[in-house]
Amino acid sequence: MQSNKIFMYEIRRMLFSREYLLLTLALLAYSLFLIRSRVLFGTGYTAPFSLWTFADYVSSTMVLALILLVAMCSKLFTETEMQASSILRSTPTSYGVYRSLRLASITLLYMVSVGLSAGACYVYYVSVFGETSWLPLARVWGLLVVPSSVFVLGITLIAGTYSWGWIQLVLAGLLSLEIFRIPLPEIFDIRGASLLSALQSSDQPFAMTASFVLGRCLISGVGVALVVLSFRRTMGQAVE
Amino acid sequence: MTEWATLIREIRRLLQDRYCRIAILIAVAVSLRFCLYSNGRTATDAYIIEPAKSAAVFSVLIFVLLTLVQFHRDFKNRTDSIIFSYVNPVHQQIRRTIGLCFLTLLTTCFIVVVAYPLAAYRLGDYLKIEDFFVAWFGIFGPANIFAVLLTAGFYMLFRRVEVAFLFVAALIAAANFLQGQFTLNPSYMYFWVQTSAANFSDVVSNTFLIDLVWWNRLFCGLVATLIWLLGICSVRRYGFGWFGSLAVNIKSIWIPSGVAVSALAAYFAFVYEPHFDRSLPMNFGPVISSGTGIATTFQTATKPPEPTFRLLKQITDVRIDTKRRRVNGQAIYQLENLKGIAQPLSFDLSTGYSIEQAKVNGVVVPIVCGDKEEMGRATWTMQVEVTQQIEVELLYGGRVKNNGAISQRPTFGISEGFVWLSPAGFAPIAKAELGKESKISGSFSLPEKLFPLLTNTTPEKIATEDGVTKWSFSLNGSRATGVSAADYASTKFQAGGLDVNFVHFSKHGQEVESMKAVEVMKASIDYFTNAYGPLPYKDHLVMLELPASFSGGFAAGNTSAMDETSFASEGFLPQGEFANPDGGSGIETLVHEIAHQWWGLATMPVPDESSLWTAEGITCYSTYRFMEEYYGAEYAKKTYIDVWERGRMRYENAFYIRNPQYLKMLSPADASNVLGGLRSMAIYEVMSLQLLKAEAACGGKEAFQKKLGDLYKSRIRQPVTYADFLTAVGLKAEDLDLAK
Repeated sequence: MQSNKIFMYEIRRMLFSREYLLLTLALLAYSLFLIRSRVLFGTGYTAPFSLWTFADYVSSTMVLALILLVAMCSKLFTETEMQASSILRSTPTSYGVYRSLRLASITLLYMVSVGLSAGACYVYYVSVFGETSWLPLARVWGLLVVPSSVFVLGITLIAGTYSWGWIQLVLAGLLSLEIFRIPLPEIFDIRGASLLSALQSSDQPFAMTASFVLGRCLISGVGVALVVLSFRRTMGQAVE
Repeated sequence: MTEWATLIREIRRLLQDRYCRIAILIAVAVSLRFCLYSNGRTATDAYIIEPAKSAAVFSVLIFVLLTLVQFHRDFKNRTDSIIFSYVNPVHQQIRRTIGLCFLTLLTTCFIVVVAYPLAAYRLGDYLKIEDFFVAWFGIFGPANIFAVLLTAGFYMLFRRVEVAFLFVAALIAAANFLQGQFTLNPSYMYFWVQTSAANFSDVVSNTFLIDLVWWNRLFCGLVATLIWLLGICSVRRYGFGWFGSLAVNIKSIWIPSGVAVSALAAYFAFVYEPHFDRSLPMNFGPVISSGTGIATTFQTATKPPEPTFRLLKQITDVRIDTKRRRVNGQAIYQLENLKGIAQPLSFDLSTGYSIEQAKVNGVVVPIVCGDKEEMGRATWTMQVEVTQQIEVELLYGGRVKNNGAISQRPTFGISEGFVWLSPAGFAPIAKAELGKESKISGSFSLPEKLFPLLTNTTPEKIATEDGVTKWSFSLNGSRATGVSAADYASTKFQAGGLDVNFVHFSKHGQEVESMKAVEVMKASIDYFTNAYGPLPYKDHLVMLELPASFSGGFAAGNTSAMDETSFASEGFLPQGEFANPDGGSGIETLVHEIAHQWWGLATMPVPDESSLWTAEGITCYSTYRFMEEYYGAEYAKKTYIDVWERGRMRYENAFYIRNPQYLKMLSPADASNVLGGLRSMAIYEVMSLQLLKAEAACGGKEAFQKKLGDLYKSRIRQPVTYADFLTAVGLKAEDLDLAK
């Protein structure tokens, strides 16, 4: 009961924060721009509703979505939060549970935002082309979004346990990635754009290379490990 | 301790701060990386401008973070209440800002120490010190200073690091995003990070482009200063919130004054921007386009109004002052009033100029400039009383302004090394009909080292005195002429039955010689003349080299012009099969542009909805045929036919081509955009293959080229439709279907 209250409170707090609203709005605006300028034409001359085009669309919005995630997570490490933690640790609710609830609220709202972005594309497919099958799209979306998000979440949380300034570096790194279109190796591709390097002709069926799938698994694993490590450090800092 | 000493101490502290050192190191390292690995259409772009622009975008991020770290350090450590109890917080923030700006300058200097020798080595004779200076001290350095000012300003305004970061990041992203939005025609003043500088010439002065950079920096600097001063107004004091602190800070009169002055100055800098006019968006109705960027005003859509005056004689004396970058002129017109009643007489004159005095038959009369500006011209109108013969004398002058309606590109202007004036920028153009006996003549003066070219005539040198040469000219049958002047060199040769005068920039002489441009031009003009027929120029043709900033070419009168990249043996863009030959460099591009003389300029292939017919396909085919003769069949097959086949496969496998029913699901505008994107691929490659098929159906190369020649000769200076082409070659559209 207490946990539910805390969870709902954190949801409301995050939902009406400037960073979340502005960045979600920016993400949706960019998504609409991509739909009109890239999805419409189809990636590699494939269909606009092909999984290739959808994957290209999702990978194009990925960095902005990750910036949203980092901005949301940075709120866990502000000075006020660090100062409040000493009070929070003295409450009946375990600090670990509290952190988990905060993280859960961030995760939920993040998934809502990126879900809205993907949903916009699905609505476009349905309204213009009458393509209603959502399951293949959801699979591609899950495979692209979840590993990258877990990885960046882990990096952000571990960076935050050291210094709030490191989180800004993560943000700057993501921004540089987007502005300079820095190519990443397939096994480490948080954007997911390397998936499209397998596209050779417009009638090629959608498939992911083994190295791409392996990369997804790897960054998911690293991300989970970093999240766990960040929790241990946070709890360790409490003991100190 | 004096303020100056405190400032020096702050700078010393910043220099010893590890974050600052790391930031400078990263900015320098990444900038030098860009110096080594960048590309562009010209060497100046590739080795100077593009590295500075790319480095600016990256280092701006670095300095944004550094500014946030430095500004937040007092508040992060909760030492602000102690520090600001013995120093003025406003002065402290000012010192910090100045210190950070000094760091940006230092970073620029470190980069320049390595970048300059590197640029000198790679560019050689093409290096111009003013280009290098504007790249690093006009683009890169100020971008970082603006980043510091904006970040500091937003931080002091909001007192939240992440909010300040997001605002500045949004401005960086917006500047980047706007760069590709040609349809929005954004002002060049918005690009505060990297500017819109591009297409710097290797061989001629880039003054026109440099002007834009400095005005951009002026405007952006004023805006950044405004934001920073607003931040200074908001520095929190005495534990007050924003309103309370503002009320305290504005008591220092210089702060609100500074805000007001910078706001006003920024407003005036934007509104009274001096390089572009407010021309109306162009009406493309009377323009015929080949679909490939070559557009010619072929016929007016509406019937011209009945003439009210006839121009009998015009004498113009123009002084082109390259130091003050102004034109001053006197023009005398003898006109016949055809209607015999009092009526207005109008003159078209370049925007940016003004008519200082107007006289009609020796009497000073008022002359008024209209509000409308169109295609870089404004119309000046005077009232003429009832007289049959009138003599009008105009004194005019001013600085050139360019057409601001389309992709703000400074085409015309005056600089010490290069002059280009449009006809309306040379002398006012009377809105009167030309009679058979009309005579337009005059003189103009230029610095001795500049060699002039007029569009419709050849000027004659009169005399040289004090480093200024006076030239005379005379026009027959045309009402106006533009003028370009530079340190030109010319090579005359005979080709295609014409005396060809190849006029190129002197500095490009070695390049022109190394790629044997004259030989290639002669061979290709001869080849195309034999294949299709002579070009429709009277007795001579001027092939003129333009600066890279022109990005393309044109034909007017007996002049055919191409930008300098057509005459560069080496391009600096990444090469690939998808490269549009109109945008490349090297011999292939040069021959392609020459072939456009026949198909695109002398005749106007007109695109239509149902076929891939444009000037590009037949030009690509013509280029291939010449290259086959010049370099051999094997080379031509590898460079053309194989590339076309691969392009054709991509096109035919494209989703919308295989499934045209989906186009009907789109809105008409979307369907048109989709087809347009596919067409731009097909018009080069698929159409060329269709022409090869037509050639086979006609019985081979000779027979096909004879038919094309007959078509060309029958349609000179006229549009050529796909139907015209099919009729000429005796084929139907289905015969060219590659699937059959």
